[in-house]
Amino acid sequence: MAEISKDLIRGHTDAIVLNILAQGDSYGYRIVQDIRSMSDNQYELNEATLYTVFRRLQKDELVTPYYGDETQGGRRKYYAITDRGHEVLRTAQADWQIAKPIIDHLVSGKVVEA
Amino acid sequence: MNELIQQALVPIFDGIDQTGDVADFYRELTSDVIESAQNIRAAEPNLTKTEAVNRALEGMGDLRAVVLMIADTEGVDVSPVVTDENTVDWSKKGQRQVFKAIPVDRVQNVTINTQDANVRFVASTTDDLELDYYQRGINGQTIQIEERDGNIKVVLPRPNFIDYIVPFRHPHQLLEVRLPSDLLGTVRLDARAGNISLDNFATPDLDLAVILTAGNLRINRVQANRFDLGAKAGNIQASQVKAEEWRIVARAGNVRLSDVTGEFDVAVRSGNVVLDDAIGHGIFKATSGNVRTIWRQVDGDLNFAAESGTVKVRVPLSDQFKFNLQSQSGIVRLKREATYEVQVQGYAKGTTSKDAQYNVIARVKSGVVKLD
Repeated sequence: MAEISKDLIRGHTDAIVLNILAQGDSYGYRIVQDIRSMSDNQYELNEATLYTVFRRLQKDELVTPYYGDETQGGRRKYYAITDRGHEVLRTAQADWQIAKPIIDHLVSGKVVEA
Repeated sequence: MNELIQQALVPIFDGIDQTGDVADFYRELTSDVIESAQNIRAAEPNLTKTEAVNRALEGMGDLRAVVLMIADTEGVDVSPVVTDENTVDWSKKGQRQVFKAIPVDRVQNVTINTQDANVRFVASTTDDLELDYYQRGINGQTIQIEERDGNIKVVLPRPNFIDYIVPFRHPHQLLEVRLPSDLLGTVRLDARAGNISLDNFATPDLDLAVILTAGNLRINRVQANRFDLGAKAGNIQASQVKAEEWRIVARAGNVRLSDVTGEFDVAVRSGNVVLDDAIGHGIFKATSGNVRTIWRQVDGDLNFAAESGTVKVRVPLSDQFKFNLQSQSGIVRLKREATYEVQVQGYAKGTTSKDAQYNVIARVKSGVVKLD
């Protein structure tokens, strides 16, 4: 199967990360692996992009970081979704349900006379 | 493995103030690199720890851009977005932006002058030379772009002192130059101050010149025909870079090249020259500093000179060469079987085999010469 164009998914990066965090606190490398496996290796988001997403979500108070258990490299930084993050995620998921059939129709449907 | 990772992260954090956010990100990144490298090694046990760490970092994208973003935004109300293509979206904060695209067949020579700006060179995804310019905190001036008979001249404004004294609005400029792969000609950047990066593109017919007065130059995964690099004060660093010819002159700062290919002419006045995993040959001079080169493959003569410093050279074990190693007030040491014409404390001349493939010449005034 071909890899998905990054352009198709770019606008949904925040929602993707919020969705994963809504199912459990996590961290950069783990989320990269989750995205890879959830998309069946069709889509990859690298850590560099993810780190900037974290900072944007943090600035917008949609996630909050904290330090967890000791790893070999010191204490690991986790991210947890906030209540506001849950709200934004619900809105994004609802918007996507509306947009999905519209986009499908626009990219493969027939032109309709006004 | 922690030490390996610390070393591998040095170029990513090089020249960045270790403030709270930057240090925090360093710890976050270290944890992720450790886990990634461990998993890579578990999947491919034949890899060394170094290989696993390097592969982990390579797969993570442009981490340097993230560090620069964190360092740049600390304490300032800006949140740039870095996409997988590593572009900075300052327009989200209403910053001034200029975009220009010029078809490659209209471009022969590009000259860029900047005063206090960061400049990034990356690959173009179209057939055009593209210029993207962002600024904040500079009043009344913008970029000038002139095109005439294939010569493109780009001049960035110079912030005046008033721009610097406005609180929380330190002037900042970013020029992103996107190069099409079939660009033939020259690109020259004269930068007074700033960080310059060349990332991830192949322009095998292009001659690139970067002359930097103060700041750091970093080249990563680039192919060009020729590099002319100069820095008055600052470091020059390159990794996974190929060119037919390299000419590097640095007045005060280090030159560090890793996994590079070409014919080299490197001169550093006050600083060190370090080459790792290199292919090629050339001349290396340090006036006040050390020269250390490790070669994966040598295809011509190697010539080293240091006024007050050490010259250390390592070439492949199977190579055979003639050598002429001299230290006026120091020692020379060759760790190979050889036939000597001269062998005294500060002078060694001879050959490792009558089938010598190239010459290794090293002259040091006060220091040590070591050749492995």
